[in-house]
Amino acid sequence: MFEGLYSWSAVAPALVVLATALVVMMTDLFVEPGNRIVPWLTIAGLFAGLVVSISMWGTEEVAFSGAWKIGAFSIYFYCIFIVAAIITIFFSMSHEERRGRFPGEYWSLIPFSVVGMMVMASAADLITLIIGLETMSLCAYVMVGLNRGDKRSSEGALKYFLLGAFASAFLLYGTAFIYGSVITTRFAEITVFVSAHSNAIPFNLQVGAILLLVGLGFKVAAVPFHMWAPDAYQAAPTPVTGFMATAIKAAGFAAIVKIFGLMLATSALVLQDLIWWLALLSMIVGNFAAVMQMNLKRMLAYSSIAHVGYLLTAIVGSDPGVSLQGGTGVLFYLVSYALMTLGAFGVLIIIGGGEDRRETLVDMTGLASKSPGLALAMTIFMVSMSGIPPTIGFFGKFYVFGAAVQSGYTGLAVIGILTSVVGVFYYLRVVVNMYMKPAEKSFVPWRRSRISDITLGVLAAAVLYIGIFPQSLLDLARSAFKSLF
Amino acid sequence: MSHDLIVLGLLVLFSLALGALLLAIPRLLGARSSQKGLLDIFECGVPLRDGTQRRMQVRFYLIAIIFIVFDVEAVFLFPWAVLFRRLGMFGFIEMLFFIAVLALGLVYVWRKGGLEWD
Repeated sequence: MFEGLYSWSAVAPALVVLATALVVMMTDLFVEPGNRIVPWLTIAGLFAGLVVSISMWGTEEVAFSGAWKIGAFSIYFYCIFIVAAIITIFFSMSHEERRGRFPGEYWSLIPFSVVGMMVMASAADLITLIIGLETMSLCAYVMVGLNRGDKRSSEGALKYFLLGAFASAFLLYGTAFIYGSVITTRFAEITVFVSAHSNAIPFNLQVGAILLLVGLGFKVAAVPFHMWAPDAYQAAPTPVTGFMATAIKAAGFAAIVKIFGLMLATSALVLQDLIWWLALLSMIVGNFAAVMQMNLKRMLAYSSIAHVGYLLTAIVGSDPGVSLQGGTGVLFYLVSYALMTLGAFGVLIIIGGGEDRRETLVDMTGLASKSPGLALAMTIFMVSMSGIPPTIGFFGKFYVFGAAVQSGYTGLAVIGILTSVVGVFYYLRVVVNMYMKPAEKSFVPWRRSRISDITLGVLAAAVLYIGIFPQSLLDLARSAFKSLF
Repeated sequence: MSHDLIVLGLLVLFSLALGALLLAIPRLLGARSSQKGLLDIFECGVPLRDGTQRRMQVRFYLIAIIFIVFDVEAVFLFPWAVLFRRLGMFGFIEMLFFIAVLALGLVYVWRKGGLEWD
């Protein structure tokens, strides 16, 4: 009687990553602490998950009576999550050399949270989505609080946990309201309902949609729901911060594209105006607050808020739903943002070591003479983040703002470009500090770690390569977005 | 609609009246006594030893968390057991997998010393 209800192939990538997490967790129990086999095993498992995901590109399957849909869209996101996780583990290994060991659970928490993200990216049901989101968030709360001895870290982790739990309540409440008026939680059925009732949207559906927007706004740290982000980003160990800023944000946007881009896309709901305001405020607050930050992790936190604003610019889109160009732009931007952000945090991991945390602007002075390769990599990432060609960041902004202009939101695009000019100031200030100022602090000599050197090199090369030849990634993003229809 | 509201109102009135009646009857008919023991908290007839605001061992939190994890397992087992025949082989394997994952959790707790009291 359960024909077609379940399907192993539809969940195969997620199962591989889940098995990885379990195996890593068990292995950690039976080897002595600090054994390098644990992170390498995690990488091997994640890589297997990546291979399985890529091999399923082009297939499309709906399983678990419509609660789960795997297609090019979800596989595109799987690849973002898994690659970000692998890079995070590489950086964590060099972070360990400088700042002491992570507890053994850390290595299994990363694949566990990736499983949650994968569930989010292939959810076709609000309940499935929330379960994935909670799986991801629970792991993230623990990872942010890993520096247990440090008071500031505990404060940041607690803030993240409380506000995250609060946001989950908003999501659940919104889901309840939507269920109350549509009597289903399946995306497909809600889409049909919304388009059939677009001239008489029930009040409860309107309330539920706004609550969902608030909840997801919290998760991706869009202004005015951003208050937790700078503290949590600063509190977390730097590799975890990089992971949060890229993979978790991408998972949040997978949900936002599906829900606000397609499912609830109708001008009858007032969502469009609200997202417009979220985008505007995120760009302005994120960029101007980042100017004031001397701590680079806080600066990158505010800049990530600004990037959320840019991404939301493309979501605002046209009616009905986000345009093809907007959706493609978002997917492209998420990859570009992941590459350059992971790179920037990677540089911070190498520089910031020893007992005192070296993660302020002053610590960057004179880096170019001390370590020219590292300074060059950081320059590439900063230039890409400010959106200057020939880097991937330029094309990301180009597609996103282009989509906004095409949908008739020229004003928003103009504000986006003006605020990115503010962004150029604080990104290039890092470069100025590295190249044009003498070292104000003596460097703690660091042992070169080949793993992180290679990872940084690959990231910088990818930022430049896709910045010059963006077409193939753009095609992938387009076919991924098209698979949603 | 209005009919439902009348029924609801009657229910509220009836509840209030019943409560008042049950309080009034002993007051009118019962004997008054003012022994000190009447004000004590009822504890199975045993004299009170100390207050409820006691310090608890902080170790209990871990036991409580582990208990919840395995309690949730039982919650899933009951509906599965009821539908065991209809779920067939798929349900059986699925539940084996579920229990295996939880068993890994038990191994984890054990290895990490979560079951040691001292």
